[in-house]
Amino acid sequence: MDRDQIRTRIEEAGNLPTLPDVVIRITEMADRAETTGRQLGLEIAKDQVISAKVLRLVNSGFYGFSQPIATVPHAVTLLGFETVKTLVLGSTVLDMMKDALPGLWEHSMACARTSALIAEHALLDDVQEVCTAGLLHDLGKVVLRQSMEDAFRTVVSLVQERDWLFVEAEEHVLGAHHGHFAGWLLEKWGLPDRLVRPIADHHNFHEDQPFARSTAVVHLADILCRAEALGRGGDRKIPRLNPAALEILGMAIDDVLGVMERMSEEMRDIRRV
Amino acid sequence: MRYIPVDEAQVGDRIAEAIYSENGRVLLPVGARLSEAVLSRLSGWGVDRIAVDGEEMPSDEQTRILLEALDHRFTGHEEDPLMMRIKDAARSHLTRHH
Repeated sequence: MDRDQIRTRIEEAGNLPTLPDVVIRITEMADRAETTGRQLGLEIAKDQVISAKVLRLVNSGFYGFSQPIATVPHAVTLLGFETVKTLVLGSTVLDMMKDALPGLWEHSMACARTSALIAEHALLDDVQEVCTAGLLHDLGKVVLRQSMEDAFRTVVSLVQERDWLFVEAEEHVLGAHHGHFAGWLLEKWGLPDRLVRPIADHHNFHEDQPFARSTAVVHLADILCRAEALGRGGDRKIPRLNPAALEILGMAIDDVLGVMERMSEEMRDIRRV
Repeated sequence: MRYIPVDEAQVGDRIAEAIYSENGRVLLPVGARLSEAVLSRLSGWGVDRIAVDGEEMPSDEQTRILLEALDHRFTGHEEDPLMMRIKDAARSHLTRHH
């Protein structure tokens, strides 16, 4: 299978659950310039399952709001259009994460919170957006499992037998990795580049790429969560941190250690596996 | 409940946390007893640690397992000073909490 065929396979995403009508309607609304946050929030609120999922995510602690958020319109006000839209779309796939790889859900939650901590420290403009990218950074692993199960199995056994990183095994088998897979799907879903790029490029950080600062945050957060054994990414190794990521965030190693200190205080309950 | 490495598991141990295959199927539910047959298959399933009923492991034993996994994770990064600083910090957090 070449790259284009893989991409088509993922975009068609035959095995992914079809997006519920309400999600498609919400996405269309969110794309229209005249839609207000209130209208969008009210539309989401009409669907109880989706709004419950969104509110559960918003209140799960990694955004760091001190007060509980009780309504979807309130969430839209606080988190912004694009983040809520991403959560609506992502919630469908997040459910599958718990089944995809043991520990991946915990790793994703930890990475979301860590992304927020780093983004706050490095004074990024939109902390919530980066946090959402952190939450969904490994979405491509779920996409792979759902759309190409044989390849997924091969990857998993290579990781076990040769003790490779998940991303290395994916490159070996498919010539592309979960960052690409998630990127293709999210682009097709019409999400903006500033959310897609950090997810797609978290294993290929480069300071000249678009949205390099947000990408640097997710790249660093992923590595720190693995270092602290917060959840599991499906393998037993850690990718190397690109020092340029720290540079572009204006962080020294002591700042990184400070973030790790906060992580270990805040997240000691997340299962260390 | 306590976590033990698979090679320390014994026939008759009761599973305290379900064991999943790499693709998410339940291999052993909570409450299952380890038989000889299951025991021999565990590592083939790619399981390296399981939760069984019983007293919490002595904390120095837990720490030892966590630190071994930590060393393993950072294999290949020994020459990278940045990665080694991160590893040192993670090590101190792991030992502090256990």
